[in-house]
Amino acid sequence: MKGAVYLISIDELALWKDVDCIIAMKEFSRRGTLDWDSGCALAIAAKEKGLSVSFEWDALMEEPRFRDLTLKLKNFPAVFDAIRVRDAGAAWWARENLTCDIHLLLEAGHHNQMAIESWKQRLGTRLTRIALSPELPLPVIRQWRQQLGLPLEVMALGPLLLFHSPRPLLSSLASAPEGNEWKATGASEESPHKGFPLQENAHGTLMFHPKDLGLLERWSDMQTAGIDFARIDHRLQTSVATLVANFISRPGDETREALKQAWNTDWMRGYWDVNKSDVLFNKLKNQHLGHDERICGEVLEGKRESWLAIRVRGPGLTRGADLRVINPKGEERSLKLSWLKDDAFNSVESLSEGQVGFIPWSSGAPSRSKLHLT
Amino acid sequence: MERFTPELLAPAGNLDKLKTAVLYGADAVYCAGQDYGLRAAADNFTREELAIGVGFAHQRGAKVYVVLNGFLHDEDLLELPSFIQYLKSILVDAVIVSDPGVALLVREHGPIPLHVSTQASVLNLAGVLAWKELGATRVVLGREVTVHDAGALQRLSGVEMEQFVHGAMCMAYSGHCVISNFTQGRDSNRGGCAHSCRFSYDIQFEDFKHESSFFMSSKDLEGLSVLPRFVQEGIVSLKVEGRMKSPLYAATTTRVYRRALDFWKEHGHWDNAPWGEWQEELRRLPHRDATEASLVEPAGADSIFDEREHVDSAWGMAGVVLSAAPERGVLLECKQSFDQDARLEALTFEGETVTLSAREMLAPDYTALIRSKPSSLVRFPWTPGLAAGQVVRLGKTL
Repeated sequence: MKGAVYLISIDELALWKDVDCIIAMKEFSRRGTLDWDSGCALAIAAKEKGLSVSFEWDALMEEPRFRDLTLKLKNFPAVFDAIRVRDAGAAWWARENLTCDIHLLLEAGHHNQMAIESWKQRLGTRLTRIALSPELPLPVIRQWRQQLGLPLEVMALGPLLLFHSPRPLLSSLASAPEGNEWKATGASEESPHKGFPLQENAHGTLMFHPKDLGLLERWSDMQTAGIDFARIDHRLQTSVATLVANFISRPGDETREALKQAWNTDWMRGYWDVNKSDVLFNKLKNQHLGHDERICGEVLEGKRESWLAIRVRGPGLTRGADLRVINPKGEERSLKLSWLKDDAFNSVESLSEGQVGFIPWSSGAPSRSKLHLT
Repeated sequence: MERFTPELLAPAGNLDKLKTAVLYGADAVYCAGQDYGLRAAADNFTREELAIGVGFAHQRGAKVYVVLNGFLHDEDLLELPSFIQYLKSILVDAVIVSDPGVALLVREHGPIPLHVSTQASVLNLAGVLAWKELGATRVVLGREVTVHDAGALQRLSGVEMEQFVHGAMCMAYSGHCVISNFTQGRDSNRGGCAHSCRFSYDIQFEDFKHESSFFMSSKDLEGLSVLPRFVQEGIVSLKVEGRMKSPLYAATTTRVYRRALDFWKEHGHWDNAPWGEWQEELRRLPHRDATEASLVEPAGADSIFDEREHVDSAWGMAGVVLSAAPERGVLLECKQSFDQDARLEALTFEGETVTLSAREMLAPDYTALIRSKPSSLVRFPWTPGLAAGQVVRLGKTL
């Protein structure tokens, strides 16, 4: 497994050995800091040192800006071994217009192999790496590595982006709204977390998790899972570059703890061990009001000891039918349709789908109770 | 030759809302089954309800699009092929996807016309062409795209463009927000969004603190005044957000946009169009102020809704007409209580609103009634213009 790092300055270059280097330029990368010329110069210097270098284009762009910037990319510097793209349009454009390798940043969505497969089919051999979503747990990644046959990259340490809006959300709140970039932290009493780092720049507004994703304790697990590239994003804490380099060259408890001590943000493992982010879904709904295909009606209202007003669902109701009534608490009662009335309160023999009618009253059958044919 | 008029696409959070939207003139509705969509807390549709909904819509010339726009995990896909085959069997008109893996499965097990969800954040021509390769016939563009650019994308790609015209908005690039995932353990892209962007935040800058800001909350989109641009650019479909919202919302938005589009269809121009009247109707709904967002130019800081509560509206939902006929009178399903002094207006499918007299209301068994209750039925004498499925609104005492 190889380390992947962002190249920030020429001064840092001496630190890096046998790592994969990423160049993030302001115009193309949502957290890029380099202009075109300095980015290219840095890439050339890294290349001369024998490092592989990729160009990051992770900003999302509407057509006018996309068109303008792709004009610039038509002269894509040969020094870059690959282009890293997030947007489906950027990937498509790179396939059509460049000859370099394509690294896909599939960190938003793409949580199933079929999604990856669709990109494999379309990009073919040009697709040489996939950066995976931080929402994927290790067992899934291990399985994918065996089945996909594609080099995989994960973020092993770095800030976790939660939100990206193209709108300028901080500058209007700042005391001095002039400028190009704003930084702040946000805290809400409605959130269990405090101190969300915020950043506004030309690409919009970004919000990060208060803790960084930190998986260095699982470095050996990553290696045994077959992960090809582990990315460390130290751009917000450049003072630890040496410690990052030490860890990558000699991963172990000592180098990791030294880095962790110096890193100014707490670490978390996120979904690395397991992802249960769908388990709460069932609690969002009343299971007793479920969506059973056998429901033949629902209670609209009841008048004690007199009647239940119902709306008929499904195949319809006939006088004499035996029903089960299930209320929102899940309690069940039996009910025989000894009489049946239509919406005008006239006796009828049957009611069909969608009709409103009246049936004998049953206790414990409030509004929204469901009727089932037995 | 019939004049080009965009499709009006309305939300259908459940079967009742589907019927409401269709009856008020939606050309198409979008809805979800029990899984695979982005509104886990919505009622959504059973398979049987989907079939009923498709039949109801098709009988009235409307189309039904089913959303499968979650970013699904491997295990979520296991049952998807059979659901796709079911959707095909009941003749749904399209499915809306954001996950390329789901798109592949639709192609394999359908085919069903494939629309790309706004969750995929398609923003540029290359993005449209990338999805066209996957079989997309329509793209619901990211909300960041202007109408002008959308028109160009449609002409250059040969793919139909759909844009949101009304409703609540994500502040983030859709599909790129995982606040809920990492702060509340709820996958926003599988239907569990906790709306953290609507929270109040204290913002600490280096030199000062800005307290209690709703800086991530967007005003609601209102594209009514942009309709001439949509028409001019030939945008195929205009989508109203809001599967979770009330039947009053579905009825009002569909009714207003239907009338506006019909005005264009009839006249071929917008001269003397009653913009103020239409806008007033829309703003009778609870909303978070109105913005054109990025429909004309990129949204700026003035699109932030820096308040918690919705703007209060003068009208609320009274109920839905269950049946109406001269010989049987009118039966209303009440959604909230009101007394005999209440101002009640039925939103008719065509023509002006119709006033109901609360003083004449009766209980379902024709006994006297002084005050209605939520989730109860109320009878009214027959009133011309009323029909089953119409929504009745209640004037609030301000």
